[in-house]
Amino acid sequence: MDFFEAQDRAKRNTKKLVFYYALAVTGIIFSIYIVTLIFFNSQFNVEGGEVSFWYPGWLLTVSVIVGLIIASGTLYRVSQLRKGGSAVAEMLGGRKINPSTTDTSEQRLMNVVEEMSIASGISVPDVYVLDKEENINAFAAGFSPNDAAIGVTRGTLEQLNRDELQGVIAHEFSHIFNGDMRFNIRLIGVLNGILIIHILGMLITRSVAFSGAGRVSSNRNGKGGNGAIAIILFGISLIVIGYIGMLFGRMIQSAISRQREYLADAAAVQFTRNPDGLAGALNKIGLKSEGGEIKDGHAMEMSHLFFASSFQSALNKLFATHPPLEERIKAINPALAGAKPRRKFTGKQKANKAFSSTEPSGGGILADHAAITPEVILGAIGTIGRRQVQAAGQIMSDIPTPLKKAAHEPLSAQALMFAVMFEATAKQSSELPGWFYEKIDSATVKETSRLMEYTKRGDRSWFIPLVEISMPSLKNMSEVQYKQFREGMEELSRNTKSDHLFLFALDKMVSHHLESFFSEKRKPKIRHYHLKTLGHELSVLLSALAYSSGNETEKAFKNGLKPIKELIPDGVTLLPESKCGLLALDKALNELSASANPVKKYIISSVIHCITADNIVTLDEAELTRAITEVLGAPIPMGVIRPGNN
Amino acid sequence: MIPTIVILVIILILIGWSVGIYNKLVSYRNRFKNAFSQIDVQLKRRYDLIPNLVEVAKNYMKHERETLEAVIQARNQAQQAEKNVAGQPENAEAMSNLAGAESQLSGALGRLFALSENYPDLKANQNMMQLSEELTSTENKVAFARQAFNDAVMNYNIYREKFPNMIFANAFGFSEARQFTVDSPDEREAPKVSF
Repeated sequence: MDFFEAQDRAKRNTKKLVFYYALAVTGIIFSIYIVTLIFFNSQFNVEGGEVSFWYPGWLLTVSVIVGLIIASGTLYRVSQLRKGGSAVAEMLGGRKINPSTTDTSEQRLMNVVEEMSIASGISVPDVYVLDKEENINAFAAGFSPNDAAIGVTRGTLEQLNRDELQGVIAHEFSHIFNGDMRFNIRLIGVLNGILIIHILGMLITRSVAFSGAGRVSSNRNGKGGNGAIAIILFGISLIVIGYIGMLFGRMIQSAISRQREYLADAAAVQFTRNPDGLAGALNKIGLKSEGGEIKDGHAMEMSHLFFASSFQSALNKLFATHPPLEERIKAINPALAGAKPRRKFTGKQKANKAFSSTEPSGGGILADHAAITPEVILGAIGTIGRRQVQAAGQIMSDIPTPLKKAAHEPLSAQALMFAVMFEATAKQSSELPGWFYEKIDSATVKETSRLMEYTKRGDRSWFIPLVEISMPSLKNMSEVQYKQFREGMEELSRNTKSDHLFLFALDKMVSHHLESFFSEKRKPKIRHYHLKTLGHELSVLLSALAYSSGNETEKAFKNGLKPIKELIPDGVTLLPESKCGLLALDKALNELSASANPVKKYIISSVIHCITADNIVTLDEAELTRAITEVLGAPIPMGVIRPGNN
Repeated sequence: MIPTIVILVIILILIGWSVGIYNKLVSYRNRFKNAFSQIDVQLKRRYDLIPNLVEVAKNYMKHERETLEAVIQARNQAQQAEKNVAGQPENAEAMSNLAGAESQLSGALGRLFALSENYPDLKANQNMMQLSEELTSTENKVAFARQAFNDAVMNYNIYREKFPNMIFANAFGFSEARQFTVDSPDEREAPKVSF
């Protein structure tokens, strides 16, 4: 299963969800219809004639009202969570970890997350701690990889060792890749909609019980009392119907959630190649009598987000959102089969063929050896192998500490971006241009020139990773500060004479991650379901890539056409260099990003064939590819594209 | 029956509306709390640097004991105030205490640096140069983070004061938050360090 298939599977799950949702709504409407009929028949049935159960007009009224109520509940919740993972994390009472934190356990968590991010080619998500939760649990939330947030409980921070923590974080990252997060948010919305009937019932019962009781005692008129009682009964039946709705909701939650947990476990082991880490974490959860219980009030409707079951119920088997811990440990490490969680967990048992049936085929295993072949890179999209994690660790240790520190702090992170941009455009110069002093505040200028001392000695291959780890800090700017930052970036690219690839890549990364954070930005609607309508755009894309490979332009272009030869319209040709500048490319990319997943898969495949035609991936190609994958939303693990010498 | 339904729907809309306002308030409040944690880290760093600085200065400024004492005392006070705020940045009183303590500290540091002009040996000391450089850069970071924090507080306060949010905000106990400003104008700047 590759990245795109996983995304599509998430979409199919969404269809399933819509089906169940419709089922639940219909069920609720009918129950309310019947209940109201029973009430009103008994109220107004003075003639004592036949009781009919078919009043189309009334059914319509009930359907419209109930439908509206449920839909508004759902839409409201979804729109609330639209802001992305941080909204979910904050709802659960999360506290954002400061990237420049001095707390050692928080620092360790940040390091683990950063390594995983660089290895996977997505920018570092926001990381939250649930301070009040003592049990071990974690979650990932968000609408897209760009606004993802990862949260862990305080218990996780304190009780897990580094390997176990890495296993848990890898599990959450695989949720991000698999497109589970967006689905999860929809599911929260659906549950909220169904729940609203239940809440309404509570409300009616309470309000009428209080006011109605008063009226009955003051005015001993039988009729008024009857009415109040009827309304109370109506409220109670709403509560009951709400429960039925919740039952449906739980069923949806557990039916879809459980299999995906196995999958995420499998992927986590594939990422880290260390089944003992994840198994150790699960084992530690199992040792606690409370398991992974989350005490926050929102935990129930969000239970499917978590790493392990966040609540315990009597009907665990039927409604559990997660498979039993023993089962999960067994799947990861059969050597522990049948074992209950134990006190003395020795991680020595060999994991042999842990995933003969569940492991996603292709991908990560291949990515662990072998040269740069298109197949390897394609398979690795959205997965991480041990080698990438190691490569990421390597790069992180190569980068001088002052630069890493700078990436963790908003003022310095901003300055770092400028320093890297200056270094990329005007090599080795420590002069700052005049406009920079005018546009940018003095503290940032000073910090920039300090950091340039380090970037000057730097390696261009550090730049992209530095941008990735700077993202969370950059999000800590205020809107005013962000505006200044963007203006500085624009001014810099205006003052750069020729098209510059790194600036282009940086611009794409910044605008995809920060723009969505600082302002509302809508996803493009899918317009292209096959490559036939994208002839010109493909010409531009492949030509630009071919020129960036340095030599053998023709060959690179031809190689890029290989995987899509039969699918493209006539007239896809190598354009002259002047016609595929970054401006043209930008336009083409915007169009390409509005295509369906299968189409994107072919585009990415073509891109990768193109850059690997000469078996050397230049830094130009690597940076351009990063920009392309950013726009198309398909993270390519960095360890796989290892730039050759320029 | 129809009027009952209409009333129900209206009640429902009202509830949904107030829940929306409540959640928005929470998210604004969370945002400025997070912004404060940025300041917090830098402040703590500064409080760690100051004793070292005083330690180095002590060897050279033997006759300026009072000034040095004043710096340490101001630092301790500021640290205490910071601890009080860290848990609850929404507490306006604690915030203005911190702002006051910070002003004091900046003033004391400013006097220390002014005096150090008279001690060329101290100015030439490698440690001292490094420490004051680091202190200045921390000051800058504090200023930057403070700007972000104040913007976040402003957004929160504006949203809170709008009608009808005001009613809900008071009912739910969302009090006005205080911006973090260092008060007296002559001490607003980071202490000038020139070596």
